[in-house]
Amino acid sequence: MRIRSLLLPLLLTLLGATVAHAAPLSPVLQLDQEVALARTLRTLNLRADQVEALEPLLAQAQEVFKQRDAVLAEAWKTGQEGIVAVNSAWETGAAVPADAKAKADATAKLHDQTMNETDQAVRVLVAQFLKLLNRSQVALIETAKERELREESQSRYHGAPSLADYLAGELLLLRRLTPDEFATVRVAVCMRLAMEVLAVDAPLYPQVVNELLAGADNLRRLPDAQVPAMQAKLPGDIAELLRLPAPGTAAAKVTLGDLIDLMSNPRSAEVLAAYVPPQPAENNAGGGGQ
Amino acid sequence: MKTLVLLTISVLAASALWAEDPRNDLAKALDYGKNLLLVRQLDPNAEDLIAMVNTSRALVRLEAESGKAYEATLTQGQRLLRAEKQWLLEGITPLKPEDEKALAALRLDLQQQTERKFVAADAQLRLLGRRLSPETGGLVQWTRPVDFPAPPAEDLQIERLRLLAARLDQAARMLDRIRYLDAANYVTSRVGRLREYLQDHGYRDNTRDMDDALDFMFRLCDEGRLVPEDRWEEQLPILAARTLQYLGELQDPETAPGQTRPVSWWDIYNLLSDPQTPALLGKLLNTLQGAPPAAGAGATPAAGNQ
Repeated sequence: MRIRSLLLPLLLTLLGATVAHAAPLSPVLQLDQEVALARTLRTLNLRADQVEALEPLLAQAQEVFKQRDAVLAEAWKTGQEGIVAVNSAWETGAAVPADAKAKADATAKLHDQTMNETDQAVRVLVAQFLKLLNRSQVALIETAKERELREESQSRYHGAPSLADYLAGELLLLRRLTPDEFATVRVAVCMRLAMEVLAVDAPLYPQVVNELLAGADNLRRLPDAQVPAMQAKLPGDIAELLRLPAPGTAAAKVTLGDLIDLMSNPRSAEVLAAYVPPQPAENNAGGGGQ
Repeated sequence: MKTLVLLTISVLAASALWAEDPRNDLAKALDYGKNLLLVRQLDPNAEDLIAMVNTSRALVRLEAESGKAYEATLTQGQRLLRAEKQWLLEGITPLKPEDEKALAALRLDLQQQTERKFVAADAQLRLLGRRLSPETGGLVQWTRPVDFPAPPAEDLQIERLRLLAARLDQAARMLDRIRYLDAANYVTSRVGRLREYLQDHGYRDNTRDMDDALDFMFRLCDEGRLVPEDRWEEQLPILAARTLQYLGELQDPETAPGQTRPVSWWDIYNLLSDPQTPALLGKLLNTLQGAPPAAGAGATPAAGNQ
């Protein structure tokens, strides 16, 4: 999930390139996009009837983008003069001509409005697509709450995939301190880490601090040769000890970003055409079967 | 003037690296205007502008080069990507375990490339932060944002732990001195010592926060006085850590809510990594130095400003 979220901005930029500017992507970037689109289809394990119902939605989405590009191209034609005049005035610190400013403002407003409307239209199409899915398929899609938690955990835990991974990394880091430095910070660091697990006034807070302290002391004594093996197993041990969600066990879910990509990418129709839906007997294995 | 000509040439060279700006002309022109406003908000002097042009050129180059490296890595993994695509589309023959492993390694490599790009960009921005005048630099949040897309470098984390150790030492020394004050001094002089310590940590006199913090520290010191001598060495780090916990200084400075400035890290990154920005800054520099704008040295043709 972490990889996907890091690549998403790039993907969206590239997607923007294809949709808004028709700048050709290199074959390998196209291939990378196609893999991502195919992954969304396969994760949801779309049935033949769902594939059939998705096709016209993808066509509608492309129509939305076509209309957007036409509006923006026209807006640029009529507003270019005003925008360039305003930018020139801002460059030199000169007064902005009133008529140019009015034109530029109107164009900027039209641009923002068109982009918002396009975004809304795509989201409506995504919502229509979601209606085609059954309950088990919908369960494979990340909820807003899950997304919020994932994003929060990524920023709060320096991108570590789970709290247990984060705690393990922080405890291992203490090995790099001198003995004096370690003696000075060990309690404070474990108190800080425990604050990530529980509120300071929670009855179990001191116990968590002590567990982390014992862990930090044990890791400190560990011979270097044993560190790589410990690194691999430590997040799991911490999760078990502190009853945290086991690291790496959450199944990768389809995100809203994935669905917007599926709906927006001009290559989606082609990928969908190559997608082989599961045979009826297989439907229950993935998201299929109503 | 020679500097300006060189600047213009290198600006154009940097723009050429980014041959395919994915934005349409209107979006480019609007972004150019937004960027102009942002630079004007920063109100840089000529030296600031020169430093910003250099950073912007470096960031534009970094973006272009990392984009190429990203693509090259994908090209190396093309066979795997094709196999993955086929498997995902047909859903029949799963990938071989060795291919799955190689794909995971490929994705990790791509992720790490992205992380390295942002770490390098952050280093450039920190350098710029030190070069700008205090008036301009003071408007920008130079610390990495909470959603910075790369974990902090291990060395930086160690540096932070050492800073924490220094703060803990300071708190421990103060608590240790207060514990051993004689009875009369404990009542009288601890107040002044604690007040001074809290002032050093941003507390102002005659405020509710100062009163609350003093109450907390009085209780902590009283607790410290009651610790038996043979347990003092073990208890002192705990009391020092509780002091910093109360002051909110235990938390990682990158994830803790802190002082914010009007221009965020992302604002300055987006401004300076925009391929149009070196030319934009060059024009502002010309204006500031009273030179006529250099023809053709402006933003990307057909967008921005020509």
